[in-house]
Amino acid sequence: MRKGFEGVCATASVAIRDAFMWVASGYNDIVLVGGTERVLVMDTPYATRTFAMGSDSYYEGPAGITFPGVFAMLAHLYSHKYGIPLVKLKEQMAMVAIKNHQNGKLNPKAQFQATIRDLMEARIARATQRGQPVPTWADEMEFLRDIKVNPVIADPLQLYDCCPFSDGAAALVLASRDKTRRLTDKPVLIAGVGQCSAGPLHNQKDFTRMKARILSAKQAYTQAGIEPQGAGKHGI
Amino acid sequence: MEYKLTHKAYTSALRENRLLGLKCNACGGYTVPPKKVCIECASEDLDIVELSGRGEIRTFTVIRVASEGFQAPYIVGIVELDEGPWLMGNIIDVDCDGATMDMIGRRVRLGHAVIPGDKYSAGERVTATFGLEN
Ligand SMILES: [Zn+2]
Repeated sequence: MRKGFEGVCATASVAIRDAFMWVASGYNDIVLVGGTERVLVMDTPYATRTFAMGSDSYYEGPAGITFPGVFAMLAHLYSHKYGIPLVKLKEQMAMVAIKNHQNGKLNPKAQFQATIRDLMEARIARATQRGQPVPTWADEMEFLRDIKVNPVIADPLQLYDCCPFSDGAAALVLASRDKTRRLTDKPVLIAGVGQCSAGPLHNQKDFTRMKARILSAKQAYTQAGIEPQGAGKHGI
Repeated sequence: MEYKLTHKAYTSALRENRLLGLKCNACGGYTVPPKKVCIECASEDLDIVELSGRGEIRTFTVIRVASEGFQAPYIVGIVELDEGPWLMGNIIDVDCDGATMDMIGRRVRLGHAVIPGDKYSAGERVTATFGLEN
């Protein structure tokens, strides 16, 4: 049996949840979940158009909304709603990019294996080597604020605030408790799953708190039989 | 299955800068753009109404890297209409480099723009636009 899924950024999670249900129900002992992305063959406008198909095609697509544009509107909404000055919010988002690139460097299979500081130092070295004016960024934060190296994609988001286009693939084996014992000594257990969806972005009104996200998290906690306070770590 | 307010009727009105929506007889909420059921309570007891087309900007972005077929920069925003629903559209007649956070809360009035079809769409499309009031 083969099945295909499309859920934009959540595609892999949707596929894993489906595989989980087949195994948990006892219908299958083992399910292989595979995902691929091939974007680098497209140019930027074509790839941006393809990702924009995740938005409502009748009433949002015609406004020329892009994926970074959706999250850019969310950042402005969040800044306004919680009274966080945009400069401060952008600083916090830059710290996320710095942290994620640091983690990427630790993973031999990551798309980018360089920290933001590595990227900054490489630029300085290149300018020095070519005898060009040497940039004087004091640190990574100043590097990321520089729109010449970190251009604005959709205000207030700059290049390093956004997901990169990628070519890549990943796979996951889901198996019943019994089968797992024969496959690995260190299984990762799924305690609960949840999934919800919602209509066009504008119909969700204040999308700083997405209803689908809240409801799907509730489903997962209920299935797991724990309260959020009982969980050690949370990731969305 | 019958749709009270069709996509065609909605966009025909939008082409005349008139905003049609659905008012729910069960909860009093408004659904814009049209759907089969009320976005607030899922009731199908809906009547077509014409909305004021006025509201306040809730959020926006300046698109600097556009999709194929669009010319950056331009502004996309979401407006809270006076009747309650939020609606996405282009915010027009604003200098992209002068579009800062103080745009949020500004009063706007509805217009429209016709967007040519591309190879992924079923022909010509219509988007809501919003121009600043005073
Ligand atoms: Zn209703």
